[in-house]
Amino acid sequence: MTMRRLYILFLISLLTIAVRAQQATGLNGLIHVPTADMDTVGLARIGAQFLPHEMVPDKFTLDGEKYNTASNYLSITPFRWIEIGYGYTLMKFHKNLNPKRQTGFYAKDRYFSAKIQFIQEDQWWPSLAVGGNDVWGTGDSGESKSNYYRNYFVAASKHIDYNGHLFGGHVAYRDWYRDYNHRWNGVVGGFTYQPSFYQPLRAIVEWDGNGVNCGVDCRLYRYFLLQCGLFEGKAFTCGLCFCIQLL
Amino acid sequence: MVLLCLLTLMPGKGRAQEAGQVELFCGAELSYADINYLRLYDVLINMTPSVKWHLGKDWQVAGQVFLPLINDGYPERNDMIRLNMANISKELHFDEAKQHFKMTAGLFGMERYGADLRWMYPINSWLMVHARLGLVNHWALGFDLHDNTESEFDTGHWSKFGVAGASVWLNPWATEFRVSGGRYMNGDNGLEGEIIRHFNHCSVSIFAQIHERYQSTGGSNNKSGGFRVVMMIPPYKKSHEKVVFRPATNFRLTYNAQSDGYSMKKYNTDPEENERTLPMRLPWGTGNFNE
Repeated sequence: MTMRRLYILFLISLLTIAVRAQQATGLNGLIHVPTADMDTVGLARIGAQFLPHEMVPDKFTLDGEKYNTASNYLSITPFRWIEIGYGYTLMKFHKNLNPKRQTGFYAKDRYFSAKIQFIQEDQWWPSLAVGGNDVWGTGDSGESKSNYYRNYFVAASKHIDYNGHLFGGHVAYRDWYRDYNHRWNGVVGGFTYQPSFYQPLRAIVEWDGNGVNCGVDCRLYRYFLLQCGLFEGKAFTCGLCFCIQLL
Repeated sequence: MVLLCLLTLMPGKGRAQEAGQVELFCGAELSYADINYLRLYDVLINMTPSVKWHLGKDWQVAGQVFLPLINDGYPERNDMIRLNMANISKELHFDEAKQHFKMTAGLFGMERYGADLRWMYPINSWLMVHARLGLVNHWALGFDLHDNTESEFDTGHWSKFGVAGASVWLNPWATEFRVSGGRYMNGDNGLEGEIIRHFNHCSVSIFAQIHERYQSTGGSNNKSGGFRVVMMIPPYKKSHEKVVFRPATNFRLTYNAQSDGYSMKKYNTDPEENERTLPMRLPWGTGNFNE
């Protein structure tokens, strides 16, 4: 009996904080597609994600070849209606920019992300949000001329509970700033499914404008969120996120 | 120091810690910089064993030592165990007039010594104006002051520091807006705006800065911005023991997008100074938090 209670308590603890997914940017979303879902107020995330070279902008090249990399991020939901995040993607260079020296991750591309939800989901209406990644920076006028991840989106999300099974539909219109990212432009979206017997687990299928990605994420031991997926059906990506409830 | 001596003649209410209490604590200071293609970050971590001795009537003696733990990329001089802070302070509270002052003299952080005066005027529950004046000089034990290229070490001249600003506290959202500006260290004039969201034991803020002395740094940006995180470390409640051993009250992290390590710098006068805790214990804003 005691074990059963402990098990129930454990399940309840897993469900206490609503964290639905992570993106490489740290904001709530699917795998490569933003959603209008928001984290609970006061939730901070610190995480990292492995990014296959198919998933990063074409600017991430060394000696003419794209490379696999990783992102790190720190994000927070200070109020119910806004998420902000800071992240960076590791960049590979020759040490001290000397082509004769070894290669390694000696630099990073930094970016800020933000999402504002101006309509909250209710029984009938979906939630609606606008946001962007790499929203602040010097851009073409600066020294780095980066903004590799700059994009803006408007997104809508709706969830339906059917006998404890939670189905989610997400659609967004996304506009990328750089030409080499235009393959991800346009209408994107996906479906999610959280089974009634274990709602911290979520299955994802999404269209990111260029291909179909699928994966799962799962909240583990209250503080961790693990996500694994296949990008365009062939490239493996995964991430781990540490979640802290500050309120 | 003369002013501090005169203050001994003035009555004090003693609103801070108990008289005679000694607090011994230790925290960590993290510095990091992304300035080259040799490593992802230059990292410097110092342990900060510190002491506060509450003398009563709002007098306090504070000291702090830097114990270098990790230095990957920072100049070798940071490997030295050194005294970072040693000062004496006195708070003055004129409650009916809502005027609050704190005077500090001695060695401050950021390799400066001198005198510092802070003023806080909580006009009402949501608005407070504050100012800070300082007269400081360089002090760095054992460092090569003249050949150092990172800062304008010049022990021959006292420099003036003066910053004034206002804070607005939105209680339903535990959110604070701060605007301040003036003359910072290294002769830099600037203006800063910050929005701070205060959580139970953590504060997160975003800030924007504009300053004028960018030419001297070799950079092209006189505008910057970033975020700060102040995590309070348990135990959160003050102890009444005569001698208290504890961790430092907080750990701070600042990200400044265009930081040159030089612009809009402020020295610390308290070993645990941070953007969440008010410099004086006032029942305003985060001063109402039971920390």
